Amino acid sequence: MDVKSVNQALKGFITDKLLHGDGAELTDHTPLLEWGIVDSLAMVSLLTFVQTSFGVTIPDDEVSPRNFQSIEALQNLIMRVARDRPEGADGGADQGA
Amino acid sequence: MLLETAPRVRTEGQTKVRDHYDVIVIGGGPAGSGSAMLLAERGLSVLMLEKDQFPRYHVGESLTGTAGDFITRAGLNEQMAALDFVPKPGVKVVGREGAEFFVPVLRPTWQVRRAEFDHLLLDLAISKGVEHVRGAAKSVLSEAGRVTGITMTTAEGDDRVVHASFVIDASGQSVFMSRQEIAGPRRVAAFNRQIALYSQFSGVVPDVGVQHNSTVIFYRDTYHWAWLIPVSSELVSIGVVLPTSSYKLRGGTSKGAMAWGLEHLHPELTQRASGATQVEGMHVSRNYSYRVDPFAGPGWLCVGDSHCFTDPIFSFGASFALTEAQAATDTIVAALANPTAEPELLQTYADYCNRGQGRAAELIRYFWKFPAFFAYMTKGQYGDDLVRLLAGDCFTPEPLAATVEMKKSLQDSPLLHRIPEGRGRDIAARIYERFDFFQGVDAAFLDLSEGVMIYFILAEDDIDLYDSLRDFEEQLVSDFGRDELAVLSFTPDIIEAMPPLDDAYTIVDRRRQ
Ligand SMILES: Cc1cc2nc3c(=O)[nH]c(=O)nc-3n(C[C@H](O)[C@H](O)[C@H](O)COP(=O)(O)OP(=O)(O)OC[C@H]3O[C@@H](n4cnc5c(N)ncnc54)[C@H](O)[C@@H]3O)c2cc1C
Repeated sequence: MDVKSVNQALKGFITDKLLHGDGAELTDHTPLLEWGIVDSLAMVSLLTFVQTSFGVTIPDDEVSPRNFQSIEALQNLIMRVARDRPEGADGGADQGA
Repeated sequence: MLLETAPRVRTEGQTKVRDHYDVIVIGGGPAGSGSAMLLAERGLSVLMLEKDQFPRYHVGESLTGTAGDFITRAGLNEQMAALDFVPKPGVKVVGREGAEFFVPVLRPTWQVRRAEFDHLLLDLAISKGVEHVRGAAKSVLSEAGRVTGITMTTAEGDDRVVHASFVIDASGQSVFMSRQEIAGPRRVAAFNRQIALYSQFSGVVPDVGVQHNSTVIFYRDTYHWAWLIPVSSELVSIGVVLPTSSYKLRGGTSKGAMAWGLEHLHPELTQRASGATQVEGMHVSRNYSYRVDPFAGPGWLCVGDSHCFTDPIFSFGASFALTEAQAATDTIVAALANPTAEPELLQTYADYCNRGQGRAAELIRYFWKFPAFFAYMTKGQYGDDLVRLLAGDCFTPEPLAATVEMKKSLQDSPLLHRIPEGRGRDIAARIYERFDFFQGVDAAFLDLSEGVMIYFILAEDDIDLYDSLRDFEEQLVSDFGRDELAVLSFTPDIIEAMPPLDDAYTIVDRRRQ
């Protein structure tokens, strides 16, 4: 799991599921909360997506606007959580080393 | 001669008022009765005026833990129970999409019918030696810049002049000292332009389990919400709150808006109110968010709603009034004992109140801006802090960690990151902080291509909004200098006159949603 693929996956999810395919203007810095792209409902599906795609469970403490305000903030969060709190099952490939 | 100097003999039915008191308290709500009783306990002579005959109806039935503490210290718990007031277990907040959280009370507290609760406090104040007179304060006496008393009209229609070493304004939303131009002007605040419709109902389906009798807040879109507060074993207060613009869309009648709210704000509300009967008339409050500044000066200070009211969603009003009453008492007792320290004591009092009111405002703004995150916050490491804040502990010398975190999230917007660092970004941050949630200001843009041009789009032509913008501009000029700084505002009817803002940064744009 590298930053680039996380970034791509997030953009894909947000474009398809939250912007109904209209992601032309979406950048790493688009204000997701400010523009209402991520609302409460979207947040729940985003958390589920992060869990299923990257095997990363965002702890309640980290669910804060600063971590969700842009794609950049989100990818940093995911990378950090994956590094600090590796999860047994899904992280299998990395553990083999 | 004899006639003139002899003490006036009052005929029966006339109110006895002395010529001088240590303290005059204007208003007999929680701020007034709370201050008056504490001052009397400290040995001061106190006159408390209240223009209305008690018991009188008042909004504000849900109390936080700090009010619970006050009630316990005042020894009122037995009487509270005897009045069939309701012990409050906490507040449940229910949003859309099943978002829901419950915050328990930190300390025991109550849901009350304010008519009787305020009467209870008033009677307690009288029992402590406070002289209570039914009458209205009319004007303020001052000498050499110091407030020295008031003129008043008693309920019987007699005009009186009364002097005091200190005057407390506890007149609530009447903002007496502000209207007398002793305190600063009343300025609308961010949560203005709301309208609330409320009444008491019987036959509302109760909550079960630990949440039985809790306050319930139902919210939908930003600023559309309702409260449900059990106020006796039979009665429940229900209030529906809407932006005034939205109220107009619902037909602009209180009955229609209440019906709309009960039906559309939340399915749980609809279900619980389905068999309910409204047992009294409908009450309406609007445009109730404001601040008055300054609110203390030589010989006077304001307590409670007479200087600030933010937004009722977390039920801070009556509790803050009682918290401030305590601080006001300490301030006045110390100032009367040591007059040279008065300016410093009043400044400390003002800072104390601003701190508490400011933290409450941040909490409310955070809730509306990030409702889903707010719910998570109650579960994570900040959960205990939120319990404390919702209990009314907003006045601590240092902010709680949750407050610091919320403030960071409120200030740190990617909208600001796009602006080059420096004076421009600092000004943008100010605009954002002030107007991001300011109803009536639909949009704000910052153009840095030539100097600092700030453009506002206002919802309508409204003197209150212009006053707020002017205050804001004055503040900017005093903090950042006049240099090439200009503030322009446009209403929808003259929007064509606005220059193209191709190079401007969007700081706020609510029209997008
Ligand atoms: C929609 C809404 C919902 C609310 N919900 C809650 C809630 O759930 N919980 C809560 O704690 N708070 C709530 N509040 C706030 C609460 O009502 C107030 O914050 C609280 O009553 C403030 O107390 P006070 O003593 O400062 O003012 P008040 O209680 O308003 O008392 C002021 C008194 O001064 C008297 N007076 C005014 N002018 C004069 C004069 N010239 N001379 C003599 N007497 C005068 C008035 O008659 C009045 O009795 C709500 C407010 C609103 C608008």
